[in-house]
Amino acid sequence: MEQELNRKPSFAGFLGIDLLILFLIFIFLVSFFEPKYMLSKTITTGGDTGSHYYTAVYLKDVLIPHGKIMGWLQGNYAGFPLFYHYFPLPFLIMVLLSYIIPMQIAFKIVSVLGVFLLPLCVYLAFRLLEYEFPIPILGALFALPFLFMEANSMWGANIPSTLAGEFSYGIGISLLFLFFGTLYSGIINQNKILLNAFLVFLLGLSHGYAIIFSGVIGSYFLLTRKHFWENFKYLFYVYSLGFLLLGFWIIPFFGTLPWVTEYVTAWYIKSIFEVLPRILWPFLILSAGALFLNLFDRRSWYFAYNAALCIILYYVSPRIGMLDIRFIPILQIFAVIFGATFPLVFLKEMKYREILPGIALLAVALWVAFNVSFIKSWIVWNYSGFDGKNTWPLYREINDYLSQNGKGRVVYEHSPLHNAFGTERAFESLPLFAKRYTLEGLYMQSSISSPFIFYIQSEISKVCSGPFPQYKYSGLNTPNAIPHLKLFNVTQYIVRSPEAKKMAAATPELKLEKRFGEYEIYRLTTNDGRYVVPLNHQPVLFKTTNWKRDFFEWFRRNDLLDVNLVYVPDLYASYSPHLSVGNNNVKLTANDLSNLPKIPIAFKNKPEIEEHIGDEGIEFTSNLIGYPHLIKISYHPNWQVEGADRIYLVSPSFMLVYPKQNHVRLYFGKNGLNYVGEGMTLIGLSIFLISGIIYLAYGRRS
Amino acid sequence: MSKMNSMIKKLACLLILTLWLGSAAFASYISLNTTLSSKVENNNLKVTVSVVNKGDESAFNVQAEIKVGKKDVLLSKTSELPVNGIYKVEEAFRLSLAKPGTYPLTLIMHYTDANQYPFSALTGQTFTYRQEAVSPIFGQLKSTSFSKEGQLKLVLKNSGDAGIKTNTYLVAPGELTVAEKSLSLAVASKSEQSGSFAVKNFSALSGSTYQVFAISEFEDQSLHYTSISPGTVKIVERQEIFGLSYATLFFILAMLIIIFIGAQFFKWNKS
Repeated sequence: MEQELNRKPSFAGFLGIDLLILFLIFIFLVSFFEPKYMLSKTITTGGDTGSHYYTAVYLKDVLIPHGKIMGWLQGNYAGFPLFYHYFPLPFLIMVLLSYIIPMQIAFKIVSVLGVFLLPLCVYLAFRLLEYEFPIPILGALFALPFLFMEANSMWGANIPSTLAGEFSYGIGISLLFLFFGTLYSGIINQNKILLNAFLVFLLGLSHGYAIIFSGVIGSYFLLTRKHFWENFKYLFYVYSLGFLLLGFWIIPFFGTLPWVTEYVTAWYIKSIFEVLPRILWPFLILSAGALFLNLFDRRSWYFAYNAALCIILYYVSPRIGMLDIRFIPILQIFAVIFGATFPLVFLKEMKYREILPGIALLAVALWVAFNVSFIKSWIVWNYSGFDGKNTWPLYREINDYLSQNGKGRVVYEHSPLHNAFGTERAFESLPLFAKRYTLEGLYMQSSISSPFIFYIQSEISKVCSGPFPQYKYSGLNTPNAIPHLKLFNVTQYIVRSPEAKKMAAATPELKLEKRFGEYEIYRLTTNDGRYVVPLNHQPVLFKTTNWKRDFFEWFRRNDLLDVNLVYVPDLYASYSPHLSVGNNNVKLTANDLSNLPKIPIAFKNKPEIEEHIGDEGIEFTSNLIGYPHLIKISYHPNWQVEGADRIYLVSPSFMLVYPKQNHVRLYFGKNGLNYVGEGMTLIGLSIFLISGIIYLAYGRRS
Repeated sequence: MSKMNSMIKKLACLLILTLWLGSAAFASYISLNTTLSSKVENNNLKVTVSVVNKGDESAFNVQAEIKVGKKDVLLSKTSELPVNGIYKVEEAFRLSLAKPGTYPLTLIMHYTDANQYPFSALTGQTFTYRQEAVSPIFGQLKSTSFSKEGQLKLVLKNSGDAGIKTNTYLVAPGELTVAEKSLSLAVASKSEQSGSFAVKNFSALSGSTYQVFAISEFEDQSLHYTSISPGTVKIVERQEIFGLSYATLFFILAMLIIIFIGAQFFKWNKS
């Protein structure tokens, strides 16, 4: 009988319990993410999430039909390269799903994918680390308190951060924990190279910090003398194949880094309890106990090494241009799931260990339920969508009006009160709802125009967001903003606060056009809404080592705005044949903002310019051949031109061309970096497929 | 020795399990401090409402609704009431009351938060028309908490020497729906009588507490009496997981723990 009690249930029995508990974890999560909201055809909102929706729609409607994943998006930030510096995997899954189910629902499902994947990935990781039953399923359960942790909504991977819009990070971190298991298993058993390489590829497309930390995980296996070269060879295969597969995305990513706006800041943590909130305490105690009890289990050191590296990276990252706080969620997950190994030393003597997952399930579920306050209402807020708010008719009315009235860009006052529509960022979705371009957007680092746009925001808003600490901002000063608005081709201005309304009403260039509830729309009467304009003064080649700083300073000084600055990287500085007007061969240079030559351009003919602005192209005809034409769309090295020799970066962050003929066409194409990257991907894919076929044909048999 | 180690391990396991088995939420809030004053001059009731936002976020669409007898008046609305901002309105009512005595005056402050979620806050008091009438009825409205629907129990005590038949109605914010229009309760002298109101959650938010008032009115031959009994309704999250109540889950958990621990210590006979 004793023997009977000490029996080991069959593998199938344990697996059955594991699957049952995984199913119950899924049910527990679904009790928060209620199907009536998740499966309704409304457009998700809340935090950043609302603005991500247009990205998915744009990928499906514009980029994919052109055979592209990465491209140009005109709608925000005066245009910016989409997916060059953001992560396409979640959006690709959304688009794929949207061919089966409505995009609104596909978006919702993928936006919570990371939440549902984390317990599963943790479970698989423990299995791959060859922990005995019930440790893997306990690990999956212990991921729940992390997911439901309400102490922060910006660090990533927990449910509040996911609801705030960081679902790419969530998916990346879930896959990272799977990789944590597959890499260990692969190295120990000298297999799974293709799987691990593919995971590196997926991690790269999910989130930057996920792929960075995948390197940290790999480094653990080099801390050995005995197996160093063996492990090194394995890691080389995995990472190099993963890197090759990622080539199409990662090469342009690195190659175009000079054309992003840096956002590096050290996160201020007020209290240790932000990092270690109460909901995690029992699991942290278990982890501490587990470390003590299982000190000599090499897998414990694998956990401890990675957790320690999170702490080191947290302190080091601001010094190397990374965001420190992104490593804390990884640390927290390690710190809670490791507690699942606490029973390890007892397993031999433990009877009826099948009961343990049941106890853990109930204890974790109750503990989580007692420690959760706002998550459920936030889920309802997000997934009831824009269209589920009682302010939807007003929002719809504003968008409908803008879609039918006016051209050029629409700017809006930054205000927390927009949250009534579903998110403070509601008007970032003007390109989606009103088919009108606006200034602000979500992916602020992806655009070189964002510092100027946030400066404008500070001039036209009672409250400004001022996200970039390295740049200065203004106070509410609408008259001062007028030249900036004109420069950015803004024709309409949405105002909410009484203070901004008062100032707008007192600004002669602005005319009240329409009122919607508490919202007012003003028209900038001095701007005709054209994106292509001839310069009235000769541009000046500005010699600088930091064009971003100098152009921003130029932008802040309205007295300088008549003379646009041109920046040519050192490599090309000697070759600037088109810094001339007509046949006069005037070539202006300067290296000091206080001493800019100001030479008006006398046109031979009255300017006549016809323009057409497309999703990824600009075409215009002009009678001013040889004269400098400003295109009020962000510069990027992938822009190419027909009908002019080249495109110049001109202040603030736009494009300048000298037409050689009447008709000029600019298009956002591919450059050498894209071709190199795509070539790498093709090579990687070939290796991957051939290796896969060889493995399927011979590997299994051997 | 190994048995001792095994025991220590089991105790450690038990300790950790017991340690396993309480959240603070920090959020912006709106707190309207309401002052309601009234004065009867001749046949006119002059009502003054003063509201200060003592929260840490603005209230929006702030509007007072005053109920006097069958008259229900919405007063001017202010689009935003900032922190420490004051909303002040006055209204005069022409009274046409049959009897002197004490009558109810209720104020409902309507407002929304920044997300346009509607809220309402109630204040109830009495005003005297011509002659003070002290009600022998003392009421107690027992506060309740529920998720979707519940009962609000009202107990009326008659300290007078004569039996009284009261008409009682519940004043509740719009977020709650009251099934009964009014309750008619006969309360014998020096005794108690109870009744209840069925209340449903219409649009109330979980975690919020709502003020309600039971207003009991009756008349004798010469005077009108009013007695106001305050109470609260707290809306709580449904306490269920996997379709089972927390109590059931705790019970199952306790059983499993007992079985599990018992199994570790129990010695089975080999026979």
